[in-house]
Amino acid sequence: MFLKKDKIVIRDMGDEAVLYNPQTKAIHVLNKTSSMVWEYCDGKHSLEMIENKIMGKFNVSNVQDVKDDIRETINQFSQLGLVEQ
Amino acid sequence: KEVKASYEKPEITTYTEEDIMSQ
Repeated sequence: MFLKKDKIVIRDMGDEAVLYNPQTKAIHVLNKTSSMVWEYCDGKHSLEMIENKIMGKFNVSNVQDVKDDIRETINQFSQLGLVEQ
Repeated sequence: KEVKASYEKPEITTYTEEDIMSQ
């Protein structure tokens, strides 16, 4: 399970989202898909559940590519100090 | 019939404080 860190400031920009991390003073702009992954980092969705949710929203031709992308995105969130496991 | 959007690879664009100040 993955959980958004408390102090992250979130601005919803329609399909996209802008996050501000006050600890690193960095701004992160998420596109539609990474924004959806971010939404599911609520402590209630496992990696597999997030993968299924995302794949249910899109026309997916290569399932493994999508799974790899989602894992990579969550790893990035973690490295940027945006989520905790 | 539900029409699903084409898959878009997830992207995260990061701007550091330095990036912003340099503007």
